[in-house]
Amino acid sequence: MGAILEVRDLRVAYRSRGGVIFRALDGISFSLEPGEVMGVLGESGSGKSTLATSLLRLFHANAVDISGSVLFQGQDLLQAEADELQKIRGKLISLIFQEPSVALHPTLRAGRQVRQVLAAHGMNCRSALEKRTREVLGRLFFAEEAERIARSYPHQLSGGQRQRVLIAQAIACGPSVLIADEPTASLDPTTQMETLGVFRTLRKSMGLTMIFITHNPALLGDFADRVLVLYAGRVVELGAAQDILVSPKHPYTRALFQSIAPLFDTRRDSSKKKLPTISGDSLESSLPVAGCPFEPRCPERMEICKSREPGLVNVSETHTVSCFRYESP
Amino acid sequence: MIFAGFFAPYDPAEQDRKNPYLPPMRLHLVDHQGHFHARPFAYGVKLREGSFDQYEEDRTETFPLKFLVRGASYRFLGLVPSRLHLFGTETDRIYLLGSDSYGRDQLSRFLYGGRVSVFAGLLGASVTLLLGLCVGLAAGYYGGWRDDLLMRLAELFLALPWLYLLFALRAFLPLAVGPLEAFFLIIVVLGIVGWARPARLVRGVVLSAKERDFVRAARGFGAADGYLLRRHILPETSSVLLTQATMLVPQFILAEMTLSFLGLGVPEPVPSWGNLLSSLQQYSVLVSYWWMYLPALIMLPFFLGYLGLGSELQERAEPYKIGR
Repeated sequence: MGAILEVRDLRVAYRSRGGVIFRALDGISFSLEPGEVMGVLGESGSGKSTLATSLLRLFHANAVDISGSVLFQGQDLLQAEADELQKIRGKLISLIFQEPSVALHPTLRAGRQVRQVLAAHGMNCRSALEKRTREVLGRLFFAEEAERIARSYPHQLSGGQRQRVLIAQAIACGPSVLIADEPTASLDPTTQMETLGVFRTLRKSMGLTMIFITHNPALLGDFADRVLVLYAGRVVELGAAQDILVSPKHPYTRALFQSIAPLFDTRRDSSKKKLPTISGDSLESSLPVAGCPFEPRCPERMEICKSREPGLVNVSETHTVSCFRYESP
Repeated sequence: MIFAGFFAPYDPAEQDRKNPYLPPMRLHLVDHQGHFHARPFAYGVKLREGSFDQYEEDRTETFPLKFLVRGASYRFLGLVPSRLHLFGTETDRIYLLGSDSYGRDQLSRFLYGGRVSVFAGLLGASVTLLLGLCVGLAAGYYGGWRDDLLMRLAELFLALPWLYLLFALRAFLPLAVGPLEAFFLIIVVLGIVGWARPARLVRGVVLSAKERDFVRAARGFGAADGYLLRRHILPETSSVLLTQATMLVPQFILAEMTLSFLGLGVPEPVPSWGNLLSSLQQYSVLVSYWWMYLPALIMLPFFLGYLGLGSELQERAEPYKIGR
C-alpha cells in the first residue's frame, strides 16, 4: 500500500525576538497509510503543534530554516504553489486547531463559518451550501440542536460545541486526511470522551486518515493504530500503538507513562507516595550540544549518550526507538 | 455646513460697499423708549460724525428680524434652487457678526467658508486613509520585500517637510489653473503625502491580526487571501482608522486654513476659514476691528466638538472592549 502522507526529514526553527534560534522540529520523518490513525504524543514544547501546522505550511511569521518535505499523494506541500496549496487545505487535508475558543471567527455565526469553508472550495450554489452545512452539522449535533448552533455566535457556545463546529468545518469538504491538534486538551473529561467518540465515528464513516496529537496517552489506547513520541522536536519512538502503550522502550516514553496518575491506586500506601516526575525541562537551552537530547534528564543514561545522538533502531518490524540501549553492539 | 445656503442670510460674495468693517449689530427686544417688542430687531447704522469707519446706531430706523425670508438665491443641498433663508430683514441688511472690508456679511462667509474648509478636511483625510489602508494592508499581510519597500517609502514621506512641499507645489502649479481646481489638487496632494502614518499603524495591526489563531485556522481551511483580508483583517483595522480619521480631519482643515491664510489656498472671493482669518494679517484690522476674530473663536468649539465625537466613536467601535 502506498503512503497517503509522507514526511521526510522535516525541520522548522523559530527565531525569537532576541535572534535566538529554537529548533522546534529537528528532522521528523514518518509516513501514513490510508485509513490509519496515528497518535502523536509529547509534552509541551516538544513540537506537536508546529508539526500539525507545518504539514499544511501554516508557519508563524518567525519560522526560519524550513527544510524537508511533506508529500501528500506524491506532491510536496512545502514546495507547492500557493493556489495549489489553498485547494488542498480544508478540502483534502484538514487541520483542527488546538483552542476551539480562539480558532473560530468571533463575529460570524457558526453555520456561516462552516458554509464559508465549502464556499472557499468552489461550492457556490446557495441552496446546496445550506443543505450541505445542515448535513455536516447534523452529523455532529442532534437534529434539533443543529439549527440553533448554526445560528449562534462562537461566544454563545460551550467549549465542546465550539470544538464540534471546528470539526464540522474540517470535515465539510470530505477530506481524506484530518490533523487534530490536541482537540480535547481544553475540554472536561466527559466532553473529552464525547469528542473522542465523534472522532471514532467519523473515522469509521468517512474512512479518514488521522493524525491525532495529544499529551495524554490514555486517549490513544483503543483509538490509534500507531503512536509517535516526540521529544524536543525529534522522533524518539515510533511504533504500533499496542507495542508502545504496553511496552514502551525509550526511557522518555516510560517516564512519561509513569508520571500519569492512575485513577485507582491499588497500593495501600498510595497517599504517601509521590507521583514520579521527569526532572528538568525540554527547553532548547537545557539541551546538550551533542548527544541525545534526553540525556540530561534520562534515568538510564550511559557514557555514549553524551557524545553523539542515537539513530533510530528497529526493535521489531513495526517499532523503532532512538536510544543506544537497543543498538546492537 | 451643508445647509449653509439656508442658514446664511446672504450670498457670501455680495458686497455692500457703503458699510465696510461694520461691527456686529446688536439685537434688541426693548427699544430706546422702553417699549417691549416680541420680535427682536436691530437699529440701522450711520457713520459717526467726522469719522470714516466708526459707526453708531441710528435709532430712527429699525429692522425687525424675520424668519424664513426670501433672499439671495442658492441651491439647497446643491440641487434644489431656493431663495428661502432662516432669517433676515425685509428692508436693509443685517450683520450679526459684522462685515469685512468689502462689506460682506461675516456670518454668511463663515458658514460658506466652513463648507469649503470642512470639505477639504474630509476629502484630504479620506484620500490619506484610503491610501494608508491599502499600503498598510499590503505591507503587513504580504510581508517580505513588499513590506520593506513600502515601509522605507513611508519613512521617506514622513521625513518630508509638508509645508515647504506645499509652497513648492503651489509655485509649480500654473496660475492659469482654475481656483477651485488648484485647491482640490492641493488637498489631494496633501492627502497623498500623508499616507505614511496611517499606513504604518495599519501595518502593525495587520501583522498581529494575521497571526491570530482564527485567521490561521481559516487559512488552514483553504481561505483565499482576498477573503482573509476582507473578512478577518479589515475589521481589526477599524479602530485605528477611526482614531486616525479623528486626528486627520482637523489636521487637514488646519492645513487648508494655513494655506489660505498665506494666500496659497482657496482664492477670493470663495470664502474659506483660512481666507476669513487672512485679513487679520493687517495690523490695522488686528487692532481696530475686534469682530474679525470671531470666526477663530467659533472654530475652537467646532474642533473640540469634533475631537469629542471622535473619541466617543472610537470607544463605541472598540470590538474587544467589554462593558463600560
